[in-house]
Amino acid sequence: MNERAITAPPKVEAGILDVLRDALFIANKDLRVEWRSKEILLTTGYFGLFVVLVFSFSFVAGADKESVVPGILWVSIAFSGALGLGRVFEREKEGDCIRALLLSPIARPSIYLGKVLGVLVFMIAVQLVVLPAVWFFFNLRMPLERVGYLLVTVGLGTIGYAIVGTLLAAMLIRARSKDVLLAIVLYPLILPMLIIGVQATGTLMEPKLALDELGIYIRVLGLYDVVFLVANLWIFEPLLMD
Amino acid sequence: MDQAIRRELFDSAKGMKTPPMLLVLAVAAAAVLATAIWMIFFFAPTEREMGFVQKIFYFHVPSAWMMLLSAPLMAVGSIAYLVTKKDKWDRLSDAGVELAIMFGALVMISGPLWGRKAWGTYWVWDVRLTSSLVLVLTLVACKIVRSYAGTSAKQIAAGLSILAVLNAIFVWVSVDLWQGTHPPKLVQTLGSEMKQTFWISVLGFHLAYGAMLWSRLRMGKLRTGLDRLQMKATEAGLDD
Repeated sequence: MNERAITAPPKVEAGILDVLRDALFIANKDLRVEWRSKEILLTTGYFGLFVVLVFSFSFVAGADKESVVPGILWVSIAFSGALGLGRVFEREKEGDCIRALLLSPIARPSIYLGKVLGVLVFMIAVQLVVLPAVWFFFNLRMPLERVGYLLVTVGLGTIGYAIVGTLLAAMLIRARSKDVLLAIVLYPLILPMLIIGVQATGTLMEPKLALDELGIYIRVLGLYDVVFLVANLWIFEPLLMD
Repeated sequence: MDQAIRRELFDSAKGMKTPPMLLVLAVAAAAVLATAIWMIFFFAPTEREMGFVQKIFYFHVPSAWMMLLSAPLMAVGSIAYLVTKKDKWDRLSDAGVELAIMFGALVMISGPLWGRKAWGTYWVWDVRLTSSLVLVLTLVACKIVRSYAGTSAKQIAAGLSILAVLNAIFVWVSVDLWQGTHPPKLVQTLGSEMKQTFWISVLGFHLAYGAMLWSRLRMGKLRTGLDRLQMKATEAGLDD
């Protein structure tokens, strides 16, 4: 009872600009902490590299690059992302920082958005390892235009991953066995993103580029991001009450 | 003091009797389902191409409908719970999740048996198959999280079931971009005896669903009441 009284959310009336400013502030804080230790970045980046390697070893016999590479790329993103997500809120638990964060006069959506931004920047950093690794080990050749589309697809997918994953990580912050729980709720929920991501990347590997098909995939990915962002902004608020 | 507590315990025990309407509903459900099973085997003709396996259809499709019926139930329950924090909404959401898992499991078991005969394979990555599978998997995850998440388990479960429903829609859209093989509108193509059997079966499933939902909601309520009583009894020093 008493605890609830202490962590009762401060009523903050904030406009959209305030929310965004505070979100940037929180993201900035997280990234600064990460920059000083580089703990998550190094471990998950290295892990991402290993996921790519393990898959490369498993599929090295099959010459059918087109059917293997999209899957490897997206699974590597999904696995290395999950490893990082678990750590993002773990840090807030040390010294009960999460309570201080919740007590600060910042609207809840700012906290969520800030965390999403932090996760996003960190995942992009990991992909700077994963993408070139896939490129290198599978000897990909793509015209520049397709590389652009690939970056858009991976970018939209990563945004969706950060949106959904951050909410789940936040939800489970007080749960006992949260690493396992995060894994079992995260993968089914990001499945649509994985399916479309793999399909879109597969389209990009075809000899003849089907632009209209790719356009639909990219639009669905964008829609996924928007729908889950709106839903999560709403769900996040009542979720972190106690 | 002691007497008052005993009185209260006694009174609330009286309130735990099964409501007569629930019994009526359960009996009606059992009767209609029994009729449906009789009709499936003795009334409806055996289908020409599929043969005996086609009879799965009479249970498969209603199960899938019941699973879909649970989705709005748990969405409404979850949203209302997150807004009001009232336990009754959480119970609705939990009941919806459990029923969706149960009927989803029926769909997942009966579907492949049909598919093996119709398509020659147990599983295809079709729109409905994939989205049902993902929905059931997410909901099972939701149940697991509810058991192990600790203090804020109810909020988490509510949030997750909203996401699960949204997600099922997205899986539908994303898999729809591949080609589907699932038979689309089979009900209209049925012969009249098959149709009657089918609708009786659907009715039976609805009645059974109603009875189960009611029982599940009551069970949740009773459990909360029991916990409260236990707490009171312990406070009053009645240990057993």
